This record gives sequence, structure tokens and C-alpha cells, in this order.
Amino acid sequence: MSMALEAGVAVYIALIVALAVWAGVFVYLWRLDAQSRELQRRLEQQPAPEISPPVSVSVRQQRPDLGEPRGAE
Amino acid sequence: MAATRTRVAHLLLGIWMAGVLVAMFVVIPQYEGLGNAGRIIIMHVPTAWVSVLAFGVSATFSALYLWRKKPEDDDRALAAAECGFLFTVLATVTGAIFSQVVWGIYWNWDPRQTSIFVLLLIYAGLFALRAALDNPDQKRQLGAVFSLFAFVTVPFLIFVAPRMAESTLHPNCAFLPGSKCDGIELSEGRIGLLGDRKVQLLTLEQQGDQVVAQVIVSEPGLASEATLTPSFDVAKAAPAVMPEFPGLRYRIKVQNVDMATGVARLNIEAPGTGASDLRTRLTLLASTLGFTALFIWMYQIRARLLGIQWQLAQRQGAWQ
Repeated sequence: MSMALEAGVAVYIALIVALAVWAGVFVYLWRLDAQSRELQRRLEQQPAPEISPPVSVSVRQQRPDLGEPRGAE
Repeated sequence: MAATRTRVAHLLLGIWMAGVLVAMFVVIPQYEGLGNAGRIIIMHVPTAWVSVLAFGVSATFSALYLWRKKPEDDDRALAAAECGFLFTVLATVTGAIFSQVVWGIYWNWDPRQTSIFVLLLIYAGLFALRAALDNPDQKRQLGAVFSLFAFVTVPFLIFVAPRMAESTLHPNCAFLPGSKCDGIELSEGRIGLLGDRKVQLLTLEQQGDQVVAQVIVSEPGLASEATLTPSFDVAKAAPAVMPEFPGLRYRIKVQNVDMATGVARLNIEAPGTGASDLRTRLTLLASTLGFTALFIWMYQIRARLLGIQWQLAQRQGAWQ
């Protein structure tokens, strides 16, 4: 039997693997936490863009024989 | 200042969980008869507990959203439901690994396994529903209602349904030695679990004042099996002969018997292990606290990200 599979050794190998997995998860969460806080801070600092007023459209009907377009002020 | 305190708390959580892992592998004693495989319980039980907590938080914020109509409440409800789903998957996987080690099979549609699978499907339905709707208000409204209904099933699927089953491989006794165990009721020919042993009641035979049960007991991993014959004294209404499980200090006993229906209640007589028991309990408690804190951290990050996503979508909409 391989030495790594012996009960006394295998439990320490399993512990090292579990600690490595936890370290990976912890570092990932730590970075994600920091990045999301930074993103939120930037969003709060940046003023929200104002919504531009609706564009008004007027339709003019032009008759060539009358010269001036109807509806024009 | 608050940010520094939060970072220190997160750092302490990292060290705490590393300590739990070390305790889980090298501090607590091996579970008698189960070897190192029993250590997975230190992960399995807390993840199952945290999943119930997370679904409860999700339902609370769903109710708050329906009341106040604040998008932040919906973000929190969704974040908690996602974390709950993740922890339920972890509980299912660790349970399946334990099942393989102890009973020789990863999945056997045991009542406990079936109920947790149904729970996963219900919450997967919540995410599918939200993904299928485009209108944000409709998505939030229906998601909140679904989440409330989903949580109603959680106590039933986690606590009630598995206990209604006559026979289950999931430990229905507390796992720790010396703790109270209700035992299992089996009719002739049925299989169940006592502690970590699969047992099958073969026959019940009346011999004078005593009823003798013939029980096949399987080792964890189904490596070997033995036939034991515990008995029950009908005149004294008490267990009579209580043979030891092979190689263990635990004894099997017939706690009650009903000859009319051919049903016997089998149980364990466990000696307990004193101080080592305390170490296991403390590690289990530390693990539960650590996983609860981990859930809170993950939930906060996810809720914040959902809030940012919503703010960005709003700004994008405003610019268009």
C-alpha cells in the first residue's frame, strides 16, 4: 500500500488539501468583497446621469402653392 | 474605521475556520467503529443548518419586499436564496460521501436524500422563474411570492418528512456517543439504521416470557455482517439480552415489541465517551458558528453585487 494511503498519513494529507481549499475560497471572497466595495464607492461618488427631457417633435405640412408651411408660427 | 473592523472580523473568520478544519482532522477522536469517515459530520451538519437559516432569511426579505417594495429587499432575498442553495448542495454532497463510506452507496433515494433533492428542485424553480421574466417588477413580485411558498416546504422537507419514514439509512439517533436515541421500529424483513449500522430484522420468535429477535447487523461500508439475537422480556416489559455490536462497546436492544403486528423497536445502548465527546461537541459548535458567519459574509457580498448590477442597469437605461 502507498504510504500516502496509510490511515495515519492520509488524515494529514486530507487536512492539508482541506486547508488549501479553504485558503482558496477565503482569498476569493476577500478579493470579491474588496472589489465590490470599491465599485460601490465609485458608483456613489459618480453622480447619476440626469435623464434628458423628452424630445418634442412638430409636424409641418407644406403646400407649395401657399408658400408658407401650415402650422408654422 | 468600520471597514477596518469588518476586515479584522473576516480575517478572524478565516483563522477560525482553519482552526475548525484542524480540530476536525486531528483534535477530535475517531468516531468509534467508523474511523476517519465520521469526521465529515463536522461539515455536513452545519451546512445543513445554514441552508435552513439562509432560506429563512430569504423568505423574510421576500415578505419585506412585498410590503415595502424596496429593490434592496429583493436583492437580499435573492442573495440569501442563492447562498442557501449552495449550502444545501454542500450538505447533499457531504452526506452522499458519508453514505458511500458507511453504507457502500452514494445515492439510494433514502427519504432524507429524496426530501433534500425535492428542496433543491424547488429553489432551482425559483431561479428558473426569475431568469424567465424580463420585467424587473414582475420578476421581483413573483420571485418574492415563490420564495415565501418555497420556505413553507423547508421545515417539512428537512425536519418532518424524513422522520415520517418507517425506515431510513440517515442516522435517526444523535450521532454522538452517549446521546439519546429513539431507536427504530421495524417489521420482519425491513431494513433500517441504528447509529452507523445497517440492521435488518429477520424474525421475532416468542420463547416463554421472552421474545427473541434475529437481527442482521452490517458493518459500516458493508464490509461484513453478523447475526445478533437480542430479546425482550414481555413479563417485565423490559429488554432482556443485549448483545454487543461486533467489535464495539455499543449494545443492541429490543426496546418494545408488538407480536400482533410483528413490529419491534430496536435501539442502541451506548456507553458514551466522556471528555472526547465534549471535544466533538465543541468542534461541531465551532463549525456551526463559523459556517453561519461565512454565510453572512457571502450573503452580504452577493447582495451588494446585485445592488451594483441594478444601479448600473438603471444608469444604462437612463443614458439610452
